[in-house]
Amino acid sequence: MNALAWLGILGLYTGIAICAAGVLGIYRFPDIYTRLNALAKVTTMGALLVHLSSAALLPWGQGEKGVLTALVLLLTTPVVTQAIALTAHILRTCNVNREDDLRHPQQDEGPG
Amino acid sequence: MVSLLLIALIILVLLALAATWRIATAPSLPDRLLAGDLTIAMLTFILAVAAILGGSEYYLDAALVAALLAFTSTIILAKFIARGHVMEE
Repeated sequence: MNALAWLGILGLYTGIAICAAGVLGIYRFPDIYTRLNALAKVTTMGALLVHLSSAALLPWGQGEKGVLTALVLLLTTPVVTQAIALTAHILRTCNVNREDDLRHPQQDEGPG
Repeated sequence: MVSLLLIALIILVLLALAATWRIATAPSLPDRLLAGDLTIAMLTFILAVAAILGGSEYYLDAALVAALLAFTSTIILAKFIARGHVMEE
């Protein structure tokens, strides 16, 4: 194994460690907004590390689509987390830590 | 190196199963959406490792399509859950 392969294995296992932390986060974090933070860590840093490592471990010229997948995940994660957070805000999903600062006073009167 | 990749694949499959279990047991609908998106992200990681193990680049095509479908489906489901419709009338 050459240096690039060892670098790929190292990046792969670092990405898997980030994924494990993210999956632990969606089970253990107290409310939806902090869980979204854990999801975003997996789909940005974990995706970059795992897909770039797979591109490094594949033969030369075969791994570009892995880089493209990492870029797609990197670009779509903010949109996805924003959409889920907006849904949680509209559905008034419980925020256990404190009051929701974004809640409008008249939002409690009419239907969301 | 193959054994290292196999161990990585097994860990990723276990993590994906944990994320899938969260879809069933999540306390609210946005949590289920979140877990579904995480599951498909894990699927793309599994496909990337499978591409190295199988020695074929076609797994990466499936990973790219899965990443794009995860984005689209999560956005559409989030809009549908929040508003009851997806397209404006």
